[in-house]
Amino acid sequence: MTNKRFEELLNREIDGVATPKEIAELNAYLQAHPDSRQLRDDLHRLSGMLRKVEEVEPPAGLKSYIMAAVPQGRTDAEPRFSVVAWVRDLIATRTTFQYAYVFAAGLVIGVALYSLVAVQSTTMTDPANVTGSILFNSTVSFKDGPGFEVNLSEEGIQAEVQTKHSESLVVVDVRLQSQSDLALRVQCVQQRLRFKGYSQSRTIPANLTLFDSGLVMTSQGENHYILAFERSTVEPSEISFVFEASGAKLYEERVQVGQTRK
Amino acid sequence: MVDDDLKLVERTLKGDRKSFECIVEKYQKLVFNLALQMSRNADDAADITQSVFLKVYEKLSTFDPKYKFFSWLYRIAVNESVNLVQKVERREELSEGIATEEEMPDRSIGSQDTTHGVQEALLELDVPYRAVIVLKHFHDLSYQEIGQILDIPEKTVKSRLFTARTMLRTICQRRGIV
Repeated sequence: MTNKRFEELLNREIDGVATPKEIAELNAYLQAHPDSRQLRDDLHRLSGMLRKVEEVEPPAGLKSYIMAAVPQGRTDAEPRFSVVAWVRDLIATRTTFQYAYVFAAGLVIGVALYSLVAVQSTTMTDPANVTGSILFNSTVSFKDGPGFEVNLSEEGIQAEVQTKHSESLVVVDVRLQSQSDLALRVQCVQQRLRFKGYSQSRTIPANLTLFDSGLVMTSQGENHYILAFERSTVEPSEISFVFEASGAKLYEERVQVGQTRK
Repeated sequence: MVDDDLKLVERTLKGDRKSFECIVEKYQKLVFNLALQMSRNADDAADITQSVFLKVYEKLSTFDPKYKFFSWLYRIAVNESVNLVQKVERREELSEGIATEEEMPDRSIGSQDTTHGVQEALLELDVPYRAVIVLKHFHDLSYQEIGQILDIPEKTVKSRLFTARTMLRTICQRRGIV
């Protein structure tokens, strides 16, 4: 028996497809070549270890993350100009965040369109729908609102928050950098704002809890979120930002949104 | 099941977004796990998964129904994983140099966690060898299916698989796993 034949028989045995005749042939070879027995034992042991590896559930929200990036309508018939594709091409040289930048940029524009539509729905908006309704509006302009920066050097946390608003929407741009698991609770203090959707770059948090007045994001590393809130009044409203780690509150900031930065 | 896939593909091609969502729902776990096994990084795996389904959507009209949809999907998933993993590994080499074993304490595995250890050891295999191990051991594909996905003859699949296994054994011996 050649080495090639031995390799083939061993492969087949490990993969459970060897016939009794092939196993007998392999055993005969190993009788004559005891130095190869250890290899056979080791490869079987490795195979056993690999079999124990369990499948992992994809992160919650992965489907939304995927569908948000899928273009509306088929593009393989007649190529149309797409702002999303244009932006994606423009930033294609950036290896990180590339789809997320498109997503984030799309959300901002989508939110602008959304503000014109004035949806009365009482259900939470799927971010995919928000970003899906983008592209063709350029009439709504957002005004810069207040923001803040956080630098908790001991915990290795840096954050930058900036708000913008139109008559019907408040958009919050959150950039986070954290060396360990960080939870950020973003919540409307009064009933004047209702959480409508979000966009997120690259990392999908291990935990993302959405509710009517806001959301809690748990993440690690560098993240960029854009959150959209619907305004029920033109009066300024308050949003609280609570940074937590291991269940303990590290920092809280409250921001009056919906008023132009002075 | 195969017929279901074809129906979903046909409907998607007619512009039914919901059908594509069903394809994503059905295969996201498979693609995510493949990407995770290739990269061992959940963020990269999520990016790869998104990228795979975008490519599937873009190229869906080129899918030949003579073949199994999942084989076609696998092929895209493997290619996207390989591309990203190679890109990341090149970037790491350029930015950090190749770390020595002593510099990677997080990669030295105790015998109490051999399953995790063997997964980490897989990362030391060159990507083509890693791919055959992943497809055979984690996805239980036949030699023929692996050949179709990787676009190599079945004979090459077998020899590459054997080489990959012996290389993995050497890495695991060095790490004290076998």
